[in-house]
Amino acid sequence: MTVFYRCLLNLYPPAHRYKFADEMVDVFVEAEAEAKCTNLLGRTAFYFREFTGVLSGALREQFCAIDVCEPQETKFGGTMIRQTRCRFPRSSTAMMTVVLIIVLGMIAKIQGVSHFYGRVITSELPHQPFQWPSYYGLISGIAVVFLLAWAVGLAVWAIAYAMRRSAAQQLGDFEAWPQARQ
Amino acid sequence: MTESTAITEPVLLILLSLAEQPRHGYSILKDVEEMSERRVRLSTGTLYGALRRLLDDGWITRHSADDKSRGRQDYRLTARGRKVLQQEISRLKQLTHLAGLRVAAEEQP
Repeated sequence: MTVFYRCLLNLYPPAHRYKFADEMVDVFVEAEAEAKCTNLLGRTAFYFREFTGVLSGALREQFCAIDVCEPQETKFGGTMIRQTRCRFPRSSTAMMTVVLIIVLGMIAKIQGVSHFYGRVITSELPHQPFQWPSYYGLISGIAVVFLLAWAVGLAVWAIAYAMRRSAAQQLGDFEAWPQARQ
Repeated sequence: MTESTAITEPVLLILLSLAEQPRHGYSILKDVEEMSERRVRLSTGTLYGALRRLLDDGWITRHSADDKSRGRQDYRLTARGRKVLQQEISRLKQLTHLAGLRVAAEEQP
């Protein structure tokens, strides 16, 4: 069980793992030794509490590691302000999605109009088969290009964000002179 | 975690546990269980999540324990943490007093 518990600790962010993993395993081993003296129900409750605790704790720490939950106090011009450590606008993803929906909506509207006029032209000339307007392909092309650009942009943003987070986090947790602080 | 917000019961129990003396992880776990008469049983995940936040807020500090062979770390309450704890106790006292008055008023005909 200790090996399994140690594996579960890999779900925590590296900084948390580096600082607390050994201690957590020590405490788990001590608590497990005590739980082993109880009955089956007690042992089951112990393992359930421990594993759910680790899973929920890891999830919470991961969220905190990407600054979803905890703002940081910083001194700015003599006054303390609270802000998240992430300075990249997180709203950009939402904005990109909103813009994508608007553009796709507009394209769909234009296509609807062009399709309507296409039908009108066909009804006026019944012997001629319906032909898509020449700009139809162009609009579809723009939509595809826009979709691809959005997907690539989102992927690049995610990679840059992850790299920035991991680097900043490692630097933030780095203690140059741990002895000097004690 | 800010000083203005009410702290949760597990965090309050952890702070109370450290108010008496510096303790290591397992000792905190057992003391919290004892103080709450086995009502609050912290998992290691919950305990170390709370300890990490308390360390970040500067309410507790971490030191190498005397028993270095096991790599244990002691946690101690800082002056700031003690102040927060006193504020929280005052808040709870005020709340208990108010609750007593309201319940007494309810019981009177």
